[in-house]
Amino acid sequence: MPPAKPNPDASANADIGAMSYEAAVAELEAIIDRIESGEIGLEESVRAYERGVALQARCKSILAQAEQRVTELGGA
Amino acid sequence: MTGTPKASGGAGEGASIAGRRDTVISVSDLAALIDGALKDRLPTGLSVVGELSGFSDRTHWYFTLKDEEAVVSAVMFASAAAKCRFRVANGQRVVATGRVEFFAKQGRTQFYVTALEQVGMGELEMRLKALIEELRALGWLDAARKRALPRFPRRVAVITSKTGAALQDVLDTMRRRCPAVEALVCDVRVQGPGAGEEVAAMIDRVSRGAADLGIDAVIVTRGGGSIEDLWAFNERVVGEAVLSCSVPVVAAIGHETDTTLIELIADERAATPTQAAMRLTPDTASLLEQLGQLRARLASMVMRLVRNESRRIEAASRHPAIGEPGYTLRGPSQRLVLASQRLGHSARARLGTGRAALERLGARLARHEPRGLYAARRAAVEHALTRLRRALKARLDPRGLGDLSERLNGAWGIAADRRSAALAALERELAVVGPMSVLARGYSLTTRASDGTVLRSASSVRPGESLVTRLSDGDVRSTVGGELAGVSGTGDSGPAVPLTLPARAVPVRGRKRRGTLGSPDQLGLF
Repeated sequence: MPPAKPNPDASANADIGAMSYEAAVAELEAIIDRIESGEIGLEESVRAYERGVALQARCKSILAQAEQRVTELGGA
Repeated sequence: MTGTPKASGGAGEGASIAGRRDTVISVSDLAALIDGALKDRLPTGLSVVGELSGFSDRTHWYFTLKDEEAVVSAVMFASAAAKCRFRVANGQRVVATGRVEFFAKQGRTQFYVTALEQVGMGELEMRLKALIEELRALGWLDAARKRALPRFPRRVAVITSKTGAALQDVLDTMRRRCPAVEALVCDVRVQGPGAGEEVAAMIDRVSRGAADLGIDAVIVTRGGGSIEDLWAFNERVVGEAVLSCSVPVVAAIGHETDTTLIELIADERAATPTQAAMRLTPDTASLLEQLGQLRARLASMVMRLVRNESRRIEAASRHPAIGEPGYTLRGPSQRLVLASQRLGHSARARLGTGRAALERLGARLARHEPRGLYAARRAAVEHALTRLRRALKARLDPRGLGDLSERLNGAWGIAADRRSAALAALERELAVVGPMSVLARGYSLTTRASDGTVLRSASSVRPGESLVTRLSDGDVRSTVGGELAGVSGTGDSGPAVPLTLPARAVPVRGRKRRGTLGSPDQLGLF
C-alpha cells in the first residue's frame, strides 16, 4: 500500500491541471512503463505513482465534460 | 414521372395559330407550339457529343450534356439505358443519340436519349487529371507526407456551409462520441464561382490561427452534388492550402464515389461527413475503459514493487544476523566461554594442586600439634591405666575389689589431706621466718645504693653515701650525714643525725642479725 502522506509534491503536479488529454495520457503511459521497467527506485516509483494518479484524474475530468461547446469563427 | 410527350396538333393547327399573331394563347398552346417547332426543325435521330454530367440513376437515367458554352438536359429511359455498354460516369465524354422534345409539364427542352456511347473523357476531368499528375509529381499526394490525426483534439475546425446537412452530421457525431471535443464552425460557400478561393482562404486562416484558436485538426466537408457542384474542391488553391495547413486535415466531399483533389492531398479522406467526425473524435466510453486499465496497471505495478521490497526486507530481517540479537555475538561469546572455561580449569587445577600441597602440609603439621601429642599421650596413659585396672581387677578378689578401691581412694585421700596440711604448715612457718614477717616486725634491711650490698656495720658507711632501706611496705632512700658513734660496745647511742628524709634511721647495734632478735616489743613466734 503506497504510504498515505501529505503530498509534498503538490507543486510538482500543479502543471497537470492545464494539460491536454493527449499529453496527460501519454505521460501516464510513460510513467507506467518506467515503473514496470524497474529502472527507478521504490521511493521514486511511489512519487511517480502519485503523479500518475493525478494525471488519470485530469483525464477523467476532461471526459466528464458532457456538454459540447460549439463556437463560430467570426468574419474574416 | 413519365415524359411521354403529348402529341399536339398538326401543321394545320400550328399554321392557323401562327397566322393569328394578335391572338392571346394559353401556356399549353405555347408548349405545344414549341414542341411542334422542335419536332419540325430537328431531325429525329440527333447525335450529340458532349460531357455527361449530373448523372442520376432513378431507374431512368437523368443527366445533362454539356460543353464549354451550353448545357442540355437529357433523359434515358430504363429500356434504352439497359442497352448501354459502359459504366456511365460524370465527366465522361459521350455521344448521345435521340430526339429533342419539349417537356411541357416541367417546361424544359429535353433530349430523349435512345443510345449512349462513350467517346473519351470530359474536358474538365481531363484537366483535373493533368493537375493531379502534376501535383503527384511534386509529391503533394505522397503518403509519407500525410500527418497522423490527434487522438484527442481539444478543438476541431469544421469548414463547411453552416446551412448544410454536412455540418449537422459532423456536430451530432462529435457530441455523441465525445462532447469534450469542442467545435469551431467556419462558414464558407461550398459551390459556385469563387467557392474554391473562399475554401482555400478559410483553410489558410485556420492554419495561421490554429495555436491561438486551440485548433488541433480541421474537417473540410460538404454534401453530395454534381461534379460541377463539387468542382471548388478540385481547384489548385484548395490543394495548396491543405498542403501548407499547420494542423491535420480530414476531407469528406460528396458521396463515396466522388473523389476530389482535396481528398487526395488531405491527411485523411473520409467517405462522409459523419465518418470524418468519427475519425477525429475518440469514443468516451472506450477512453474511460482505457483509463481504468492504466490506473489498474499503475497500482499493481507499484504494489508489486512495494511487495518485492518488503519481502526483501523481511528476508533480511529473518536472517539470524539481524533477527536474533545474540547471533553476531555467538561466535565471539563461544570463544569467550571456552577461554574462560580453560582459564577456570587451569586456575582450579593450580588451586587444586596448591590446596593439595597445603593440605599435605597441614597434615604433616597436625601430626606435630601439641594438643594432639598430649591427647595421644593421655590416651596412652589412660589406656595403660585401664589395662592396669583391668589387670588389678583380674588379680584382686572381685568381691573385695570394691572395698579395696574404696580403701585405696580413702587412703589416698587421707594421704592427700595430710600432705595439704603439712604443706599449709610449712607455708605458715615460711611466712613466720621469711623475711617478710621480719620486716613486718620492724626490722629493716639497708643496702648501699651504689652496689646493692647489705649494710651490716655502721662503720662501713661514709658520709654522703646513698643508702636504700627496705621496709615491710617499701623502700626508703637516704644519704649518710656526719659521723656515727663508736663501733663496739660502748653502749652510748650517738647523737641523732639529721636526715634528709623524714624516716629515722634506726641504729643497728653490733649484734649479728642471725640468732636472736630479742627486741623488747618484738616477741617472735619462735
